[in-house]
Amino acid sequence: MKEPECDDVTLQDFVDGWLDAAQEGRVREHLAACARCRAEERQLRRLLARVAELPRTVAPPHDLWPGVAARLGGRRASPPAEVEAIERPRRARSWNVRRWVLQTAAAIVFTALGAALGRLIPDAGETTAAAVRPASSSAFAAAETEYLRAKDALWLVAASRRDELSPVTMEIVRRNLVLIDEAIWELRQALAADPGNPHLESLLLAQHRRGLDLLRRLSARSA
Amino acid sequence: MRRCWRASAALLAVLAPLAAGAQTEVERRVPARAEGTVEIVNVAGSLVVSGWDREEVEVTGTLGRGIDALVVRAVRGEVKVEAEPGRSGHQGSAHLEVRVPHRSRVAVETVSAEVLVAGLEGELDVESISGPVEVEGDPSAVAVETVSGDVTVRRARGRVAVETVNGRITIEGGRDLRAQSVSGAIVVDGAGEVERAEFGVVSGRILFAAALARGAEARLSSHSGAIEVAVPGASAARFEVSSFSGRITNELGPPAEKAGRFTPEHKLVFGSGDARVHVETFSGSVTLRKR
Repeated sequence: MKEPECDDVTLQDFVDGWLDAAQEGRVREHLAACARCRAEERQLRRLLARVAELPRTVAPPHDLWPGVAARLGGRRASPPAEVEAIERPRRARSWNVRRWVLQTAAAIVFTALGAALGRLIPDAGETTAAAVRPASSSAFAAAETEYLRAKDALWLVAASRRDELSPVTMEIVRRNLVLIDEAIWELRQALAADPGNPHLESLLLAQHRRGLDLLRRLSARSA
Repeated sequence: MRRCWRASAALLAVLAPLAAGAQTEVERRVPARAEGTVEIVNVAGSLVVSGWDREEVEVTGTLGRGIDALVVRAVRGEVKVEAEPGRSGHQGSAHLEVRVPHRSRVAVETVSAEVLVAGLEGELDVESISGPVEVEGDPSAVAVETVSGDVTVRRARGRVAVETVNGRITIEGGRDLRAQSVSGAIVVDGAGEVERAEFGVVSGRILFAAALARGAEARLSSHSGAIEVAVPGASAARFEVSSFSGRITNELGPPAEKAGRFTPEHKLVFGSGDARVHVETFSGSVTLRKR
């Protein structure tokens, strides 16, 4: 099991302001003694600041979303512009603009990730372990770094929508993200004992991609 | 199966209004294109979508308290149906039965509504959060995304793609299958020959029982969830199986061997078919058996 004091999810909750006072106190105490977590906290706050700088009122061009959706792995294209203009109720329209802003943030993350992974992984659109095997072990560390950056940024996008998601849904998502993080932690432990094992590296990258995919879906939904 | 589905739909139609309290009966009909798009939004309650031979969309059902209106609009044969929540803050629900031209492309968006779809031949796309989704019939392609809702797809003939977080995925039929979940189970019992399959979980289990077409490719991946593959025999495919610390049980051929002296990893390569089956786990067990 992962040591609770170095738990990434707890750290993200701390940065998001989700913890109660007692939990916050424990995290602050831990941060004072853990350089690694302090560095992670700084990185999270920088990413949060970047997300906060994203535009809030820009109108999306009609032909942008299909490309963004394809890049994110989404499947649904917008209805024709004319139909959209006539049919969309006012409340739904403002919701869609907000969703577009958040999805744009996610798209920025995925664009950067896609460019980086495109050089490293033969087919970055797949999620099974064998399909996300990096071209070489030397590329593995770079690929994992890109995943972690993207995951952190996307988590912030998803967290910014927590008010729109039901508590039950958020709890399910959080528990399953913890499952993914535990899997990643176990794989890292195994890799530490067997460095360069391509099977373990591909399994690890597959878990990163699964976590990203879950966050991507969370960013694009409300409940 | 069809009888079972119809019985479920009939039961929903009878019981749903009783459960919902204050009701407004609705019935609308608008022209539609034979192969047009029908978009349906119903946040909560139930939704039954079925295909018919008419170039019309018909919506019947009841709107519960908290739903202001049923919006049914058609523009150049493209139809949108939406049970519109009011501003009262109540979680409204609607129980709708929607009939669409059977070759329509149908997109459903919901949060917790129970969704039943049957008799469609066009593409079907469902996005949900917690409601169960059941699809029967032969849409050309089925795509379902949900967080915690269970998903069942029966008698599919084409591409099926399902993603959940912890919802159970059950697929019967289909040739091109993709399913992903974190902790939900994936159960596939192919009625026909599968050409392509790609399944991935973290802790959920995978059961893949199917015949494989010539040249088929199946990839199954898990972290700690068990994977069970049931195929007609060792001649069905070339199998490549590896697990870092999970037990591999092979009832089709030779036992797995250790990949190296200092690693717990086991590997297994056998089989003579021109299809390919790749199975990979970290600690989840793997069982290969005859179907």
